[in-house]
Amino acid sequence: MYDLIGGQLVSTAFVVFVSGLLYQGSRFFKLTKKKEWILPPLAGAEKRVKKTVVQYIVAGLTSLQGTLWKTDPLMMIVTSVFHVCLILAPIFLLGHNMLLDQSWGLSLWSLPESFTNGLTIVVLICAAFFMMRRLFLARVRAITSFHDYFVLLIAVAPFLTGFLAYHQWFDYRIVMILHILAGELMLITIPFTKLGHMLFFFLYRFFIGSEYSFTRGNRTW
Amino acid sequence: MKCKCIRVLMITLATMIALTGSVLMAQQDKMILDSSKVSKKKGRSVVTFPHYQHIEAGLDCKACHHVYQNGKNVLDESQLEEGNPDIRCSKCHSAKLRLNLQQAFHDQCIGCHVRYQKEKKKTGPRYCGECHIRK
Repeated sequence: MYDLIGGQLVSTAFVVFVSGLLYQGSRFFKLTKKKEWILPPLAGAEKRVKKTVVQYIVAGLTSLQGTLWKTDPLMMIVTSVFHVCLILAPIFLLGHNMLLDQSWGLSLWSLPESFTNGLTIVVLICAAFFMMRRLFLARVRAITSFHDYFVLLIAVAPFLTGFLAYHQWFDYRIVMILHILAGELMLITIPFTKLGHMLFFFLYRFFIGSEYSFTRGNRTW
Repeated sequence: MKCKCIRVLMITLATMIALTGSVLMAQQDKMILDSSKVSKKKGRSVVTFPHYQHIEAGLDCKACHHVYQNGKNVLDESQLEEGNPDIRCSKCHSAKLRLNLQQAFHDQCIGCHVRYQKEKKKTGPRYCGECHIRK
């Protein structure tokens, strides 16, 4: 059982994860090539005026008006904290780095375990917040389907089981097997579900973002 | 007379058994491996190591205890006496060595347990919390 879940299935999950991301990335480029490009309004076409530092800061802050900062600041804070903790905790987790060191002879730095435990608790609290939003806010519930709960569960399961494993609550072996399975399920589903924003965020934010600012509507990628 | 003979024989036998068993008796059944004694870093909980269970499993001393020279284990088994500071793992596996004490213990225990698992033999724990048990 462990041999399969902790051995072949781990490598399979990583292969699916990497090749899935490559496939989706190449699809992104292919699909966007077909489009006809209409020039967006040129940013900075108006005469450039020299701004003072304060004016720059004010202009930067005003540009936030159209973002989540203005419309839903609480969501903005929770989601930022959630993502930072979600990325930091597994990468700099002592146990994971020990396993890496065992199998490859190299590992990253590790944060103290009590600290990563704290990060995990923050992830769980934020996830509970997201679920409550979907359940109780009418405007969010209106656009929520089963898929959204499923994706949230996939994202949270490795953290929940990891938390239980760290504290050695319930049957340790079963919790560990569930933890590994949850991680594998997450890796496999990332390229093919909404979790794909792990890759697409960077494409949207930087490629398309640059098109409307630095490169004056030219497709540079 | 015959009765006395049997008594002497029984006492001799008992002494012999006690003597032969003495080497094994000297080994603690369970040893506490406490990293805080050599490292100031606060690590996971101490590991209770069932030494005798490993002897019972048929492993000889040099399966684990080692002094490597040119890839050969040149350890003199007569040195393996309790309390001998020269046979402690920390004697060689210091922080300066490529394999520090923590890596040495992890490699020694998990490495063997994983190998036994692959060979489909009865084996020991491989998950962190199976050795580092929370109190």
